[in-house]
Amino acid sequence: MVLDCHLPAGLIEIGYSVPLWVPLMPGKLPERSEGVALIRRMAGRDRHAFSDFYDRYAPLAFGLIRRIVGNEAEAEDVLQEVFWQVWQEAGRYDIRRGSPEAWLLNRARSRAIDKLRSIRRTGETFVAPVDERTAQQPAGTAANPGALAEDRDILRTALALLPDSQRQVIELAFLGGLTHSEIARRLDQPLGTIKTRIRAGLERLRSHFRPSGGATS
Amino acid sequence: MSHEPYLELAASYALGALEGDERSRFEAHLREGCRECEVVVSECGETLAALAADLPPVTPPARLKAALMTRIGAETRPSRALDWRSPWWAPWRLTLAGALAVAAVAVLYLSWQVTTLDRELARRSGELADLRAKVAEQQQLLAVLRAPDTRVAALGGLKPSPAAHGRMWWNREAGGLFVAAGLPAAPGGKTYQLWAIAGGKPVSAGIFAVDAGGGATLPVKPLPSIGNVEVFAVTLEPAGGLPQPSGEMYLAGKVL
Repeated sequence: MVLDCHLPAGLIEIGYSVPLWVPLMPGKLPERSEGVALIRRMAGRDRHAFSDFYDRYAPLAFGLIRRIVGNEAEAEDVLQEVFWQVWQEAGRYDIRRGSPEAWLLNRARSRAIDKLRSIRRTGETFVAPVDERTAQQPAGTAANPGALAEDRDILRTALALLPDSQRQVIELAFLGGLTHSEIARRLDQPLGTIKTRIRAGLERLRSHFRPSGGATS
Repeated sequence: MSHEPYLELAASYALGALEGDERSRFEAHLREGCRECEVVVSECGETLAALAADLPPVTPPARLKAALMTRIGAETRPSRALDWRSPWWAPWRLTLAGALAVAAVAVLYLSWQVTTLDRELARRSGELADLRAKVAEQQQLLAVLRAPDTRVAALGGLKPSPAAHGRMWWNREAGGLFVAAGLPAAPGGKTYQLWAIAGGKPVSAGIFAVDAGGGATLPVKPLPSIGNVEVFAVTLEPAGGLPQPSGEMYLAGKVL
C-alpha cells in the first residue's frame, strides 16, 4: 500500500483494499482488535467494557488533551466529555473508517482544540504572549502557555524527526489548534507554503509510523 | 476536477486546520463520495493518532472515571428492564417470553373450555325444553285426571286386532289421555289415528305410533270444534293422517 498524504494523485490509485489501520503499527495489532471488541461491547451497553476501554485509553487521551488545553481543570472536563461521547456513540463506530485509537484520539484532539479556542475567545489565557512567543521562536515551540514546560516531551516524539519548518506548522495545528491562515499570519509566511509544509510533515510522520510504506519526502 | 487540489488539502483537513470556504468545499467533495480523499484523510487521521499516542500518557484523577461510571450507571439502569438492545437471554426477555408462553397456553385452554361449555349449554337447554314440554304434558294429564267431570272410555279390539284394548280419559275443557296396548306395529307408510266421534261425525284427535310391545300413549288437546264426544275410535291411515277416517278400525269404545 503506497497511499500517503504527499503522493501525486496518480499513485494513489494503487489498492486500498487493506483495512486502513492495519499497516500502521503492526506490533500493536492484537491490542487494536481488543479495542475494537471493547467498542462493540460498549455499543451493547456493556459498562465493564467501558471501564476497560477507559483504563486502556484514558491516559493517552488525557496526556494529549492536557498538552493541548494546558489547564488541568479544563482538560478534565474535556476528557469526561470525550469519554461520555465514546459511550454514546460506540454504536456508530465503523472499523473501516479508522482504528480505535484514531477514533478516540482524534475526537479527543478535536474536543480539546474546541476548548482551547473557546478559552482564547473568552480571553482567559494570555493570547498575545503566546502569539508573540510562537512567532519569535521558529522551531520547537509550544502552541499554548501551559505547554512550554513539556517541550522535551515533544522532542521525544516523532515530531522531533521533522525539519524545524515542518515541525513548527504541524505543532501549531496539532497542539495549538491553529488554522492555515492563522499559522500563515503568525509565521508571516504565504498560505501555500504552510499547506505544503503541513502535507510534507504529515507525510514524513506517516512513513515513520508505518515503516513498510514506500514514500519519503 | 482533478484530485490534486483536494489532496493538497487532505492533510490539513485531517489536522483540523481548514476553515471557511476551503473546509466546506473539501467536505462537499468528501460527501460526493470521493474514495481517494476519504482514504487519505483516514490515513492522515491514523498518523495523527499515532503522533498523539506518542505523547507521554498522563493518568487522569480517579474521580473522573468514578463520575463517568456513575453517569453511565444512571443512564443504563432505568432502561435496563426493557432495553431492546439487550441479548435474547437477558432476564427480562426470558421472563417476558415465559409469561407470553403461559398466556398462550391459558388462552388455548380457555377457548377450549368455552367451546366445551357452549356445547354443554346447548345440550342442557335442549334437555330443559324437553322437560318443560313433558311437565306441561304431565300437568295437563293431571288436570284431566283430577277434574270431576272427566269421563272414561274403554276401547275394545276389533277384527284386525281382537286382543288389543285401550282407554281414554277425556275432559271437554282440559283435553284427554289415550293409552293402548296389544296393537300390531303399523305397516310402512301407515299410522294409527285416534278419532273423537260426536253426533256421528269423527274429528281427528291425533296420530300415534306403537312401541315394540304394542303399547301407545297419546295426550290429546281439547277439541273446541266438537260437542259431547260419544265414541273414541282408532283406525289405520296413511302416514300423516287424514281429515276423515278411511282405513280399517282397530279399536273403539263408548264414552261412559
